Amino acid sequence: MRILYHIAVFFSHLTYTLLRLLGRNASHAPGVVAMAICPRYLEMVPKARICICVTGTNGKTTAANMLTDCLTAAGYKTVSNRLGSNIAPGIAAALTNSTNWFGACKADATVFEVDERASRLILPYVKPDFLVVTNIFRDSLKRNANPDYIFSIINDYTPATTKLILNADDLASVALRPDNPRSYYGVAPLEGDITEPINLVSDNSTCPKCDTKLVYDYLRYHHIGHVHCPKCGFASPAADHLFTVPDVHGNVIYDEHNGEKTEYPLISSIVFNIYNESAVIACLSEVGLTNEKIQEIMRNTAVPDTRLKEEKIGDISVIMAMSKGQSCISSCRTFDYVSNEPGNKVVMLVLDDYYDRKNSVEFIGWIYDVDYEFMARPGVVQVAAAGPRCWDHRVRLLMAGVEEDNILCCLDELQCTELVRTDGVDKIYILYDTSTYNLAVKVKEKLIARLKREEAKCE
Amino acid sequence: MRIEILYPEICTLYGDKANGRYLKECLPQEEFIYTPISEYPAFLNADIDVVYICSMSEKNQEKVIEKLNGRRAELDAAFAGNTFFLMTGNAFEIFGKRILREDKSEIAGLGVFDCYSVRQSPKRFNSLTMGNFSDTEIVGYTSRFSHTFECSETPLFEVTLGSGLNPGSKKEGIERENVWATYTLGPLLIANPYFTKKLLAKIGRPADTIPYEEAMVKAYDVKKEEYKKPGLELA
Repeated sequence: MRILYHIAVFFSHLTYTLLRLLGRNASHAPGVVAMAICPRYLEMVPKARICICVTGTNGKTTAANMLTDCLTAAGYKTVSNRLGSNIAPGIAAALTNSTNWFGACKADATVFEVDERASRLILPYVKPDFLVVTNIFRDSLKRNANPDYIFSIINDYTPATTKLILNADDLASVALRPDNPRSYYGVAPLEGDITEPINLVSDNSTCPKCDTKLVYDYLRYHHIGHVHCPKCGFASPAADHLFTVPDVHGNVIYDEHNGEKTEYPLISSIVFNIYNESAVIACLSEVGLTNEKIQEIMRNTAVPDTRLKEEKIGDISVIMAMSKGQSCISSCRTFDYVSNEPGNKVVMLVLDDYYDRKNSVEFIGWIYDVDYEFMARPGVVQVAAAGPRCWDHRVRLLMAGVEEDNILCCLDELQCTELVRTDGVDKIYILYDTSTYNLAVKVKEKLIARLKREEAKCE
Repeated sequence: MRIEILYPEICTLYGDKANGRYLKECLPQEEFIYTPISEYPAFLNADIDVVYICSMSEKNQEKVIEKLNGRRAELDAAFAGNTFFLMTGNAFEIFGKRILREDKSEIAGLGVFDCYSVRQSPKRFNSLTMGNFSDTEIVGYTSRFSHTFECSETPLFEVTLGSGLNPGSKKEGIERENVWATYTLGPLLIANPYFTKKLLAKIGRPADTIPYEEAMVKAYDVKKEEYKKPGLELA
């Protein structure tokens, strides 16, 4: 088996080198090669001194990338899978990058973003020192089924030695592997908190001990918040790292840990990014970095901004915003944000799955878990449902209270750009799914061309 | 008329919840009761005309069975009485004889239906489904970890596309005089306006028109044609 391992390392490196020469990312195939030659590759690769895995429904990419940047800035030679896949071959490829051609580890630290469903094929073999779980929400029913199922996978396959870094405000994940070492992070009451759910989807609303309806001490969105049971006394766990943000539009966040309060720069005012930053600081602290070192590196850290891309033509801003299809929580967050932005807005929905449309028909049940009701807010002057499922979106929008006159339906996304309202409009949002990004870029280009044409006519 | 939505805080997956919401829009004058898991269902000891229960996680299937297990006599009486039951997704499995887990262990079901279900996670079964129900067609979707076998009950419909209770069966769901149960999940009533009209007639509230009917029919017609396109991939 040892010989197989060394052959696997050699060919994995060779594959990597050849693919890089061809200009490819080489973030998946070297792992496929390694695992084909040596099925126990993930287990046999010697691990770096610090091995961190990050999983969860939302925020894992952001948190993993920030951790990679921070550890690199702290002087650790860090290898991650940020350019590649987060399933087993992607992790195997990244592990190859953490070794030399002889199979010895050359990295100080590894940070792997792990797909929560694929974690059963990764965690038992990689045996991370730390596992950050950002949260567990509903996601694609085809892949992820339901949150209980995802919980059971992470719970069953996380090694007993792994220290868990858990979000104390996420009742769906706080109970993972109760006997493992753990550290909870949480965010203390914030401006704008509520105490009653406003989203259609609010899972984990009953006490896991006695089934009584839980009371929220504070709630951010969906089920993220702090709860207690009025009957049996069950409550969200106390945070070992309690983060306080005195002003969400300010620039400081405090971490209260072991009786010590440390100030860090607040790098985003968006609540889910406050959680991502909290997860990163808590993890770095648990890894053993000093507060001073974390302060120093957080000053130069940013949240990767992949969600919003804006361009202004005349008086109208055209903004692309990620809103993952079939993932109700991601879409709810984007719908909420976009509909609350100031000004008159047109929202184009370019969300219909790119692959399902080719040879199948997308199941549209997920849109009934998304708060389309946000689109009935004042200021949203038109919602343009574009794509093969536009008629389903129309029904959903009508049920949500959006006026019929404010709904545009187009089977063809590109044609939709010629029909959306532009008079009296300040912003046009193009909401896209991961599978429709390239299509959304074309939509944006065509829309911008139209706006430029109209602007030229006016001049 | 009194309509009970069972366990809305846990039986809430995959967009099924929209069916209860839509039913309320269809029947604004009727009384809706939402029974949480911490309470006994109203239909066990009061006059309830319609009970709706929808998709839940496998863990919550076991919780619901545990809650209802001690009330077998009342359950049998309710199913033998005039209460009408609508079940979507994997809800009906709990009323079968048993559910077999992946490790071959067994959960005793509530024993109302003559069938049993077998789980097979992590293998997820995803499929479009279509079938003839009376003089209309149902367009639907199923996504589940389990299949149901040896069902001697009358099916709700026979599939013309996709699979029924298990991959080897064309028989989908269960129909009794007072039960319509189907593996079809999501907004079944919204996606199938003609089926919804039949449901309303069945429960004694026939309607010439239903809310958003024109928009629902448009979406239904488009989808029905798509379900018939050649070379369609079901999953």
